[in-house]
Amino acid sequence: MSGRHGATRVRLADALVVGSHALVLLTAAAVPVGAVVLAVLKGVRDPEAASLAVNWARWGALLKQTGAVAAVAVLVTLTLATPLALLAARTDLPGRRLLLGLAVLGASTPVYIWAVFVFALVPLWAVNGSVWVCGALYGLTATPLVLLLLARALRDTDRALEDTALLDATPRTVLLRVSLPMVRRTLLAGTLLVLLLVATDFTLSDLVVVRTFAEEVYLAYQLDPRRAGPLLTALPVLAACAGLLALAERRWRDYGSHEATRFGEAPRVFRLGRARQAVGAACGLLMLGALAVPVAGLVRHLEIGPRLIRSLGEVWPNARSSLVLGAIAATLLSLPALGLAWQATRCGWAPRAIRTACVLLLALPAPVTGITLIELLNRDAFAAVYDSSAIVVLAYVVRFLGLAVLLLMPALRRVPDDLLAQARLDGCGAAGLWRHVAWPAGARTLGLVWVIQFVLCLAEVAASKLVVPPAVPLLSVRAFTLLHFGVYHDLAVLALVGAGLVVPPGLILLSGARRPVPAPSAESVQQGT
Amino acid sequence: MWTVRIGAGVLLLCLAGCERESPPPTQAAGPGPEVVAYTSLDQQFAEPILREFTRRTGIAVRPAYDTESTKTVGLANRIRAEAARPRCDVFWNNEVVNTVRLKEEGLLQPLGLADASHIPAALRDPDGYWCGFAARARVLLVNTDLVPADQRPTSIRALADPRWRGRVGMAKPLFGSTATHVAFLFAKLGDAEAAALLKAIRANEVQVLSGNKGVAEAVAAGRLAFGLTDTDDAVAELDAGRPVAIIFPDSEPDGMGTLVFPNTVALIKGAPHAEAGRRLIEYLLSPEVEAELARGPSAQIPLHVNASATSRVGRLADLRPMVVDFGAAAEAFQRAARFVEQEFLAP
Repeated sequence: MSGRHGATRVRLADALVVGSHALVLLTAAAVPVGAVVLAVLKGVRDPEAASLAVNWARWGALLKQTGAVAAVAVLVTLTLATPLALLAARTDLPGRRLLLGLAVLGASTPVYIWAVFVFALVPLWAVNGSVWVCGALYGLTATPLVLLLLARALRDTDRALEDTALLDATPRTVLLRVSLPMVRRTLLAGTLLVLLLVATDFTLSDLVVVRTFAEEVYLAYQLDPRRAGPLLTALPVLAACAGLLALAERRWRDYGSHEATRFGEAPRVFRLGRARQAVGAACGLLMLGALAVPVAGLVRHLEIGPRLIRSLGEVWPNARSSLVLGAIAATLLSLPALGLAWQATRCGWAPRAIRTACVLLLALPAPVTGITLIELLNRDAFAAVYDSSAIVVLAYVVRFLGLAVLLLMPALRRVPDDLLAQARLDGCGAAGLWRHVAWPAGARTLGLVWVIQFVLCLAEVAASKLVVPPAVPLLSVRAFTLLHFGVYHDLAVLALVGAGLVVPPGLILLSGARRPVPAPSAESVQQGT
Repeated sequence: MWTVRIGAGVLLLCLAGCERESPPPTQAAGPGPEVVAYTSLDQQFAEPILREFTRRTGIAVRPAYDTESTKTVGLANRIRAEAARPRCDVFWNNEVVNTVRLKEEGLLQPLGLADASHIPAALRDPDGYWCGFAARARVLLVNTDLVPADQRPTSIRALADPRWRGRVGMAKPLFGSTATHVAFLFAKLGDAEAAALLKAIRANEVQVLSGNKGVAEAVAAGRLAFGLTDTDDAVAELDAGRPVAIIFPDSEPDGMGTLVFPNTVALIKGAPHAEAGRRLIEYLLSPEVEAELARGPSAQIPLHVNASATSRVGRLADLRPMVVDFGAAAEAFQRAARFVEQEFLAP
């Protein structure tokens, strides 16, 4: 009798786990699917708008602009990130830990705060309409993250191959011809990341007045939200990003698996020799500039004294809302993301569906997320969501769930197959595997992913700008609004507060990234059970 | 047990964070009456006025502001999108055309003002659906270092003058007061002439910036010789001591006149808090709000017949305003926007 009850409990728990994951995924996936369905339906009902939006010449012009911005951004990112990552990860450069620490802080800094830093020095009107500046700014904002990805990949390269190559070549040649080619997949991932940023975000393109696809969708929606134009305009970019991401996901499916990754093997450190001091000084100057120039730019616009205190008080409601909503969204995202990532690492149609949904979510231009949420939820049945800050949380979940799942997958792929077999022999169902295998294997990465999602939620502008209800003061939306007037005292205070908010998450990420992630073992599973 | 703990934690977080609305800066402490106001006036100008209203009446204002790059049109479209289930009570628009369009679309309800005679009849709706107050004007801001006094432009047609090729600027004419201005031009000059003028301006390599503030700053910094902007942005540069001069264009006797446009305030049809909304509207139409807007950094021109304050940019009586029916401008708005989108700003 008790055995039957036990089996029922296991089945119930399994159904709960699978059901809750399916519910979260379906809710999130409803947005990209809804966007496409709405685009088609509106297009059929409004042929005039459809013919204006589905226009090859217009799409071509937008593609040209978006492509130009993306090309400049990729060029800037790779030019800056690659040598710095090589220096920080594989050489005896003095201050390399500081460099990586600054990169973590830079990667945690929202795009709008980067924009404040830049426009505190250069007025907006001076760069009006410049594709070069728009691309360079996007590239600059993505550089720290790509630098970190590259540095991580460079530490995981095949040491034996490098040692063999060193028998016949100089260290510099080995570094450039052997080590660097081994991280080409990460270079491509960095490129893809920059492309996605440019294709799906309009924060900078709107400020600099450059008509990229995302900017066009946003403007078309603001001009007439009832027509088909905005969603139809987004279809090519959605298809292109989804295609690229699907390709990347297929190629890199084995990334992080226990066969593909080595643990505990320290990478070879290449000595800079006589150039060490000079390169160290140059990097030191660069770091000093990266810290001092933005701060000096902001301080120039600050009015120190009572007004500063008053402004800090005025910014506080914005900061509080952003922190609370970011924390809720990161929590709501991360827990199901672990389960979904766990499912996605398996074989079969369900994991494939999860991976496809994640790719679609990631490829969705941010304004389309906002537009679709408004279209789906602006009705009596969903009034509680639409009229409250829950819609902002939902927008965050939709925007970042795919990324959270993809970030967690490598950690879960490292679970050895025999461990799974052992767990199944011990009677674990879906819930048991999740609790006793997935959770111990992914818990620490989950913590880091939570922090990353939290930082991303703080930074989100392009979807929340559209869905935010009255009197929900978000830091990001306020900064975006003020940025259009140039950098003055209020915005400088807001940027300093925003930059301060990302320091603790940045430090957590830094300490988390330093400690190597242990591979899950049979002991951990047995302890769990 | 741990799943229950995590679940309870998440639930608590959600309940704590996703309350129906967060306390806004203008809200009085404690529960009480409230009003939802969508306002396209810049937040830094509107916020003190709304806060004062809350202080006086105890009615909390839940505001939604606009972004400069999609000014007014974004909020008006939000009202349209929410037409079936309105959540906005009061639309405080910093121009007039989009308010008239909302009225034509049946999205407003009568204000029910006891007495609106203190506002000139031309600046309020004859049917009582909206009312104007505190006006601004569309002006040319000229850099006095770059443009000698005898060469200063007197008409917006100077934006198409080849002498100034690439050295003139305006904001994106799809949104905000620039879109309003284009709609007025379509109504005043006719579609063909207005389109020809805009084409000539584009051919003259006009710099299209994201907002009027940017235009004023670019002129003040000497990047542009002159630009088309609003009085509030122009006067800010003047107040800052920059080498600029404000010109009210087309003011000569045979000119088309300077576009002077009021803020407008309207009550949304089906507004959830209509009574509180009416009180906010009455407050916004009071002479003291106009006086505050006139004395404040935006230097708006009072329209109240008993207005005691004067704006730093002048009095309405001193200007030669463009005479155009607001309804005709509202009717031309969509055509003008389509032209701008497809031809003037074509990528």
